[in-house]
Amino acid sequence: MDIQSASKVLDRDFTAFDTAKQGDVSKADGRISREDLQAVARNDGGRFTGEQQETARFLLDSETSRSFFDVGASRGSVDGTISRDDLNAAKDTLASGSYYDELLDTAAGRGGRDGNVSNDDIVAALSDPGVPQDLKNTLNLLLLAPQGSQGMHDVLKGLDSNEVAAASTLYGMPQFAALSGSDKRLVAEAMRDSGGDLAVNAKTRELLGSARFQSMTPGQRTAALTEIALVNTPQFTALPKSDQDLITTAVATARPDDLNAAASIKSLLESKDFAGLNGAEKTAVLSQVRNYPDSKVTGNIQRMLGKGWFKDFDIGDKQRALKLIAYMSYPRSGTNQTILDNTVEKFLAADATYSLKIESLPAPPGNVIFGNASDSTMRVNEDLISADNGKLENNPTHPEWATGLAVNTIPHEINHLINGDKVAPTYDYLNDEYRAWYVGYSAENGHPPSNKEALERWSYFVSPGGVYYDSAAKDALNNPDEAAKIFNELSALSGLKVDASNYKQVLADLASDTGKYKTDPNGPAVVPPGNLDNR
Amino acid sequence: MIPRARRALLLLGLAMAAAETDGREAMDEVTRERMVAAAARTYRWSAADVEVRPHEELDRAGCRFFIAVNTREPAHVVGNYALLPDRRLAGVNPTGNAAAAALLQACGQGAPADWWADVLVRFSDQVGGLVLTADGNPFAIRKVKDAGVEFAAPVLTRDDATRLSFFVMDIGLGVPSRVQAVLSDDGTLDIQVTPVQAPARAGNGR
Repeated sequence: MDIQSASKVLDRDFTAFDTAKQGDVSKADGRISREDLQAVARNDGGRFTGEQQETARFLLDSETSRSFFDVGASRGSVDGTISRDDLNAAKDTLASGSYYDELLDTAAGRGGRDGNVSNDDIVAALSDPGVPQDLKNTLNLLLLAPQGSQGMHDVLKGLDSNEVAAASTLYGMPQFAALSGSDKRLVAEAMRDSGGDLAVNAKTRELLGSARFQSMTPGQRTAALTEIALVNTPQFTALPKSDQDLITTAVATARPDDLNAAASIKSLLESKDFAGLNGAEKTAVLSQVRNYPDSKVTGNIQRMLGKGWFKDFDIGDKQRALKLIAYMSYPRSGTNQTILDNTVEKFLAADATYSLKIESLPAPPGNVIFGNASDSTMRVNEDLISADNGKLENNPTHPEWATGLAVNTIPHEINHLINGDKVAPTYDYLNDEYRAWYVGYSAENGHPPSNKEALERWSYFVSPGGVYYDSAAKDALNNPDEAAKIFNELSALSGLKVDASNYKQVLADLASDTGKYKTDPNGPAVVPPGNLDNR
Repeated sequence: MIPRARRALLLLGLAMAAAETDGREAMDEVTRERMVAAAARTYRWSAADVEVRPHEELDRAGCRFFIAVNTREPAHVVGNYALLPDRRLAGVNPTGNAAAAALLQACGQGAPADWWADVLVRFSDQVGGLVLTADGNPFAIRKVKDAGVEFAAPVLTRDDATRLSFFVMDIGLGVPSRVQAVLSDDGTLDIQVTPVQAPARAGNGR
């Protein structure tokens, strides 16, 4: 006996049930009460068939089914009786094939059809012998989703019997039972978000049952299930196809060992900061997720979306900032990722105090200013980064400037901020500049500069006409104490004795012949004091 | 029609006239404040952080040179200003090559080529970087030579116009360039800058 069979018997033998308690067909009141059902179940007077008795017992045992008929006409609350109108309406509902929301709406035996399947309704249904096992399995599956019983009415409303059967099958798979709790939640989420879609169900079952899945590590399993959950989230399905393609491409092109690629994108899509973006801004974000497919990149982008300074950007500067942070965050060989990661943290950590400002930076004629920093603000030259959704390294003009800005200038300038550098006509300030240059160089190249490269830098500091000469070195060289420190630095890098009388000649000799170094010109340069990793 | 360079000079002169009020002492302070304001405006610095210093190495023939430095933050840039003998102030407003032309015309006669090159780099809007003199930055000079180009210190010649040729180094980008400039008697300054090698790598502000 099931609810469909019970419906047919009640419909066919309504009068018999209606008058069961009274024992007199002339005393029909048009309603089947609980006492009527009990009379049928007892077979009072030997007047009822076995099928009628079975139907009565089914309904007496199943409060869910009885309440479904009780409020079949969607009027009033459960009152313990089934009218003809209720029965006729229930018949129609059952015939539609989609009745699970109505069935569970009053499963707890209280209230009316209010469009709310409460937790009590679900608990009652799960313990109700009249509720089909397929539906119970489906409920148990759906309850594993993060939403739990919230909004269950809408989920059930969209399910048909085929989808319930498929969900039940999935729930019953031993491979599903063997999943971790979090993996089960991912499956449940996909089922719930997709409305029990048969294709999603089939894909999930195929995955769970595959030898490939069984041979995966736990992390790989989670990643595979997250991919399914991701593309069924309401946030994903609400995106234009072109944006969806950016996401699927990102997932497909992420490194195989990046097991959090899909999860990071899912987290991004579900974040309130992403939801608050307009369409063009979402495309800009997802473009960089696609350009630099990596969970760390995506996570950093998500954190940046929450920063006030990013929210204040117009679309062009949002595009520029996304390119910069994504490029800096993306792991690549040949850079010092530790310095770059630490630098990014200065902007994106929860307690970060540094902000990014993107603006045109004026420079003296014939010069270009890549960026500078003061008062916790890193300013980068917007003219060096095109406002589009492409890759930073594909900048239409001077792409090497754009990438250098990301992996050299920003670490350089942040190093100034971290160390609290102030301009002064002293060796110490020039050494601050050397340190910032050392850090920028190391970040960009993945190794510290050589003695030869460092000496070139110091040679620039002490060259008349240069910015650092004008602003600091000129006066420092005129101060014997400061000059002596500068010459000691040149000595340390070259291994030669350097003083005021010979420093220009020493530099000229070393520039023309590296064989004159007493240090290894290609060996690591003198390490400057101060913070060197931007942590 | 007034040539473009001369028109700029006239505008420059008009701007100066407004500052000349209370004689030399007052003008010096006003001039200093104008340089501070110009640097603060141009580079978006706080005026309180700007220090104007004489750059006496370039002073000659009545032209006085100054640099503006941000004393608080590593700004990777200095402002360049100059007071001409007629008290006009060069460098406070964008003037194309007019400021450089005015300085070279007013004070360049008899000056060495190195001076001409330095003034040109500091005050024209077409070329910047480090002038490579004979005893200039040896590593930059080596880059010119490594590019297969014969290095020469700044050279000044005179025929129907004054012609200047020198090399300049963009330190940040590691790129040397050849600069050829022609100053005509009417004050027109024509500058051509030709990189001698492709940019090697990016750097910070220079």
